[in-house]
Amino acid sequence: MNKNRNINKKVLNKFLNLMDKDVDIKACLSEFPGNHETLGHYAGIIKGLGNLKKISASGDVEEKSLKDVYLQARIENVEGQKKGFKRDMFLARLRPAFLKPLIIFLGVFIFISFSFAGTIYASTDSLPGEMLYTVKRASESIQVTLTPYRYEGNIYLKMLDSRLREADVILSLGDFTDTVALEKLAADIDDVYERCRNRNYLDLNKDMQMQTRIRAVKEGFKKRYGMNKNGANDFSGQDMEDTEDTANSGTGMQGFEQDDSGKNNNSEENDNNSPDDGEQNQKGKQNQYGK
Amino acid sequence: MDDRALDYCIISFKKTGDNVYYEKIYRFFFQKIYRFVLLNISNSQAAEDITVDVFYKVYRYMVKVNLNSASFKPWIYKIARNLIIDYYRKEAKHRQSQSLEKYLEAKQSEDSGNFGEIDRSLIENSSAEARLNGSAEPEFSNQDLLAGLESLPDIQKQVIILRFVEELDYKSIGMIINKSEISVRAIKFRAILRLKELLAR
Repeated sequence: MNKNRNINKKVLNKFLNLMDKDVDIKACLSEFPGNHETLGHYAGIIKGLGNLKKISASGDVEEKSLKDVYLQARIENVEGQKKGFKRDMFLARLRPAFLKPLIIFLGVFIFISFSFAGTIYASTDSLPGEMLYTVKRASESIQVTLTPYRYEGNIYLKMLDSRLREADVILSLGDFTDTVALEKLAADIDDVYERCRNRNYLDLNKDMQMQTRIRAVKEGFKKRYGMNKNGANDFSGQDMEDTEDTANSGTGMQGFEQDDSGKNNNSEENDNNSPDDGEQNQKGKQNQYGK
Repeated sequence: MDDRALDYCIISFKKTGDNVYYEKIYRFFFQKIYRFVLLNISNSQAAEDITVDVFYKVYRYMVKVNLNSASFKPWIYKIARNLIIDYYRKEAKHRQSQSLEKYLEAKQSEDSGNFGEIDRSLIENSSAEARLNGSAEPEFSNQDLLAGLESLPDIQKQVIILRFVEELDYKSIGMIINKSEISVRAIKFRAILRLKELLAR
């Protein structure tokens, strides 16, 4: 039975293929005389399906549908135009409301940004007492504020270097008369140096270098200050030892005078002592850093 | 309308947008699409609506798609099939459609109009097992065939309709239902076997 069904399927396939080639049903059936009856059923189904072609809509349905198509297209078109109009109106309403202030804001923002950046760039070579020096210090403060604590030492080191360079420039100019600014600079140098040391950012060699530079600057200040401003304040006409004393008494350049007399006592002594004493001082430093 | 005339209408409509060319295409395809939709969903009112939607889509998108006479047929049938699928989805929960048989019977009572005459002829040739012109094959009634089609899975029903009612080639049917030509042949074969089983009961 099963075998017979399989044969029928193969035969049916052949029969359907023949039918696909638009061969006449009778001719197709005559090709398979043994399966005439079974295949006759299939042929009847196919023929019946062909008869379904006669199903059709009436003429008025066709006309009505065509009108509906045009109507739908027109509605869609009108809706599209309405949407476009609404969108335009929406943008037209919004445009003056936000566009003008936005453009002004952006313009001002860009102008301020460029101005600020330019000012900061211009202030890099400024000296104490100058207008741009305040900007320079402010930008440094911002930099310190924005830098994480563990990296602050690097910033302070740069600041110390910057202060010392400023002092060098002042000394090289020779005609710097703003004593208040000088005092402040000296105090700043000490302050920044102290901060560097507090963050353990100075190794032994660097510390020695910085101390040497600071000392040189201070001596330069004293000498230059004494030369330029005779009798102007408590330093005038005094030698270095006298200056130290006056500093401790609370008048003029207190910052670094106190520092000289206090924290850097060893280095002050080293200046006046022999190289052997310098070695001792270095050992003392090593003890201080725990090395 | 032959292929050349269809090509001419498609190109002319795309170039000029003149509705005259569209109407020629519309009149050539309307009955075919309507029949295809009606046989699939068995609801005359919904079939009319879907047919309108199909031709609206054709009207709107024909200018945007590169088409010729060979690709137009599968394209339009594919639109119809997609809309039929949408209809099935919408109606899946509460299908209260009038069956095609009832629809034809209702229409039979109408004496006026072309449709009524055709329907009556369809119903009247329902002499089961009748032999026409002395041929060996039995004649199945339209009601039996429609009932059989209703019982087939959607894909088989669509293939059977497209192949034996609309007389499309296998390649076009493959394009419409997104299957290869071989798959279409296989589906058709299974559908015929199933239909025979259903009608033999």
